[in-house]
Order: sequence, then structure tokens, then C-alpha cells
Amino acid sequence: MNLPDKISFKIRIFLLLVFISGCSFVSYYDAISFKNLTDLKGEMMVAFEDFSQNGAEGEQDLELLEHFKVETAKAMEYEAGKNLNDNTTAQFKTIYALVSEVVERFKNDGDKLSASYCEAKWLNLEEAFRIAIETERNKIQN
Amino acid sequence: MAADIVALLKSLLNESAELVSKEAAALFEEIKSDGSEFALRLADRTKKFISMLAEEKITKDEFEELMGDQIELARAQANKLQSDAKVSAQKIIDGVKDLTLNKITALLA
Repeated sequence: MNLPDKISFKIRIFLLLVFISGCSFVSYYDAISFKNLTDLKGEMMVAFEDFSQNGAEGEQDLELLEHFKVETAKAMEYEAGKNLNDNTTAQFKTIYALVSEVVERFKNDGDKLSASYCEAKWLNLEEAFRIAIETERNKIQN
Repeated sequence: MAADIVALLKSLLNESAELVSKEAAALFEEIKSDGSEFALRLADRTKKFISMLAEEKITKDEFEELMGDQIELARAQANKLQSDAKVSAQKIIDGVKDLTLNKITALLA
């Protein structure tokens, strides 16, 4: 690439940048989204630490799992209502799907879950939270 | 004045190009390290689930559910990378906007 080509390449890139300067590609960092994620993760971590030792059983544990499902659904709807937020919304859908599987299994397996299943499932849930939290943290802060 | 404008445009072009290459390098680095860390954690989980199944700590049905989750998690990770790329593009656009405004303000002052 000789000098005029180099300059014209830079000009073309610059003009492209000016042309798209009015565009937005992604939602900005949102402290509410971050708090929703970290609150949910913290609450579930405490519950699953216990379930990983003793398993889950009975009405009280089912209520707790249903509570997680509702809270995740509320957070997911909050994300779905924002513009330019498809990626984060999809990540919340993953968390919601994972929590729903736990609730369904609890109901289908005679209102109980084994400690080993809870230990293993938490590894997947923790990964889903890690990905979503990092995604939100990497966004531009206003 | 004309010489000032030419100088301004030249420096604007150079600084914009520098901004683009810096942001692109940061993004590629993030994608590389993020992808390999995710793959390592996925391998660890898979190993653990297989050993739990072998020891009959979890049922075959539970194992299938846990492994099915890995596909969902890989999709979530892909969404993260897509979002990171959009954030980088946004940083470039915002950076060029700031550069342009600063240069024009300096020229007019």
C-alpha cells in the first residue's frame, strides 16, 4: 500500500465512522441489571450450598425455588423492555430456563431433589450468572 | 486557516486509526482469553458430571439435562462475545465523536 492509498484508506474509514456516528449498537451499562444479577446469584448460591449438602425437599424448598423462578422472570422482562439489549435478554432466558428445569424436576421427582443433582446444577447456574454479569460489566458506563 | 484545517484533519485521521487498532486489539485479546477460560470450565464440568454418573450420584436423566445445559451456556457465551464486539464498536464511534469535537473546538478557540 503506497502513501496515497494509505491516506485514502484512512479517509474512507474516517468517513465511515462519521457516517455511523449517530448509531448505537448496544445498551449502556445498567446498575439495576447488575444488581438484579448479583442479588439473584447471591440468593441462589446460599440456597444451593444448602441443597448441595442436604438435597431439597418439601413445600418450603419448593416455595424458595418458585421464588427464584419468579424473580428471574421479573429481571428477564426488565431486560426485554430495553432497546439494543438482545444479547443480555438471551442470557436471562438461559438463566430462566435453567431455574425452570430445577422446579420441573422437583415436581416430577416426588417433590425432592438429590444433593448431588443440586451440586451439579449449581455449577451450570453459576456459569450462566458469570457470563451475564461479565457481559453487563463490560458495557460502557454513562 | 486552510493549513490549520488540513493539519486538523490529518491528526484526526491518525488518531482515529490509532483508536480503531487499539480497540480491535483489546477485543481480540478479550475474545481469545475469554474463549479458552470458558472451554476449560466446560471441560471441568463435563468431567465432573461424567464421574458423578459413573458413581451413580446422578441419574442418566439428570446427566442428560446437565449436559444439555452446556449448549445453552455456549449460546450465552456467544451472546457475551457479540455484546463485547458491539461495545468495542460503540467505544470507537464515541471516541471519534469526542476527538472530532475536541479538534474543532481547539481550532475555533
